[in-house]
Amino acid sequence: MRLRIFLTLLIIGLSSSIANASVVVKAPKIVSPNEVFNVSVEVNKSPSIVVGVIINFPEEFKLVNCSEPYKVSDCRVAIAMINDTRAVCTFKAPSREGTFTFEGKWIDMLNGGEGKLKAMISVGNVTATQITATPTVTKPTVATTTTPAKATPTQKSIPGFEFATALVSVLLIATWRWLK
Amino acid sequence: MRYVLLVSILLIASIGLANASNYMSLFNDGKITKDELVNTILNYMLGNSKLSLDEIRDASYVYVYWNGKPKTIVDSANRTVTIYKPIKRIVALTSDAAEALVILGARDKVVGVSKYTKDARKQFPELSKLPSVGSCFDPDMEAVVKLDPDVVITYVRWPDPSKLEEKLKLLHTNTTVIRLDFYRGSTTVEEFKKLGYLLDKEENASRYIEWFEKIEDLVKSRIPEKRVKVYTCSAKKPLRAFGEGTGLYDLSVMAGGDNVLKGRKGYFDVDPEQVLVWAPDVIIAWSYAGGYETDDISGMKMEYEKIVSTPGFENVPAVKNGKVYVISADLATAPSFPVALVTVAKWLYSDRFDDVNPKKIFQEYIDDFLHINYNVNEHGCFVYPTW
Repeated sequence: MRLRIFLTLLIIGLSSSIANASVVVKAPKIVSPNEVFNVSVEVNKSPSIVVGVIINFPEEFKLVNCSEPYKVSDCRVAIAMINDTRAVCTFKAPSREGTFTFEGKWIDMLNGGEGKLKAMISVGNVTATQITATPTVTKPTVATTTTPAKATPTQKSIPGFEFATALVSVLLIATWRWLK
Repeated sequence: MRYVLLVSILLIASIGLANASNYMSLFNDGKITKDELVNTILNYMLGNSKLSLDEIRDASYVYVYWNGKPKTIVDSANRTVTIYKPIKRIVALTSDAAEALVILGARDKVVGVSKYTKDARKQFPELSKLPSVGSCFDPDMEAVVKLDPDVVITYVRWPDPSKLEEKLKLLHTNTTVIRLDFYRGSTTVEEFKKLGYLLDKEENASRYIEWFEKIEDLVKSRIPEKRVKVYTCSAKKPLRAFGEGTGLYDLSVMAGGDNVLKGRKGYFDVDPEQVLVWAPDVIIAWSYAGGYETDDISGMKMEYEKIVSTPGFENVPAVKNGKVYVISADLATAPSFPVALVTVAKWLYSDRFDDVNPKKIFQEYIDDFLHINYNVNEHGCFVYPTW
């Protein structure tokens, strides 16, 4: 039986809380070849939002569209989030196997924070198994603020989460090879 | 060397002006629209923007908090002033403006102060550490431009526009001049509203205005129908009268005095015979000798003695009846005006203000609005005869 090719989209999303804002990137961990899937950017805890996002995606992927205003240049997509808490971009996955990286950053135009985005993509043959993706949370880059804002508790990083994710991936590959 | 500095300033200013025009193009249709902001952000994220990140942040702020529109006021010189971006850097060319900025909670935006504020270490423990830009009478324009302020706040009368606005124009700076006095009781409330609005500090402005109006109402409610006649002058030169439009004149009228200088504007000299003809019941003299920075009352006392011994004054009712008072500029013609108001009202109608303690009100002002560690029972000289 031909095993399903999957993409493991591991987004090490830098999420952050700056003044009132908190930004998180979410993506599915498994998609089929040629499958259309969503990557979302979510902004929380801010009454007003003006965030700019840039994502450099591999040329093997095709950007279908985004829910918020966006502009594409080569393999870069810029997204502007204004008073919307969520932006969803739809990509089409490639058919060939391989490992790919999504990288980018976001800038909070109101409160002055910014952070980086990084996504690792693995391509392989496995039985159908879903892995739930969870964003990693780290501290933001500190920047000057232009808005007097009440401080909110800073979202702390989760030490060891990267290790746990890597462990799950290793176990998954071992299982897949064992089934094969 | 001075020429090289001037050329450098002009060069930097011209670059700034080019950038400013890119930012200003966002307001071509009167306001920043969502589409304009979106395009600006997308271009910036893709590395194709003519605007800096700071400018995009300013545009975002204006879009979100100002509904995309610039802010406009009419200042006390009756000029329309429009602000297109949040004010971050202020030069306070007067101590009264510096005091107002402290009250509004905008101390952190001040980047330069007058030489008088610089010397007022007790009243302005933080602001006095900032660079000096000279005085409102003779501003040091090189120092002003070097600080790259968004706005300069100064008096309506001083300096002459040729010394400030016209020089800033020649240097092609993006600095806006706002003329607000903050020393005249009759305009103070409006001025706080306007500056509070421009700085997004309306809440702090309201708190101050509420306090101001509470005291003003108290005084108004106790002024009798029959008013006492008042003459207002300089303590240093008792024959230098302070007429309509001056802070001291406003103070005497708002405290319920019938000022003998009514109909005469500004600062001018008078003859002692004229004062005798006017026959004021009370003389109120404005002094630079006291204030927050000195605990030595001798300067104000000397001025008092000079007034009562002015040839020809011996027959003036105020002098004969011991109703001559000296009040510090720091108290009388500043945002602390309401404290001066109750003080003068009590001088004019002492029987009606027995239960009012101006000194206590002054301490409340210092604690609640200036936020400095300063005890008026121990420091300063604000009135003579003393409280």
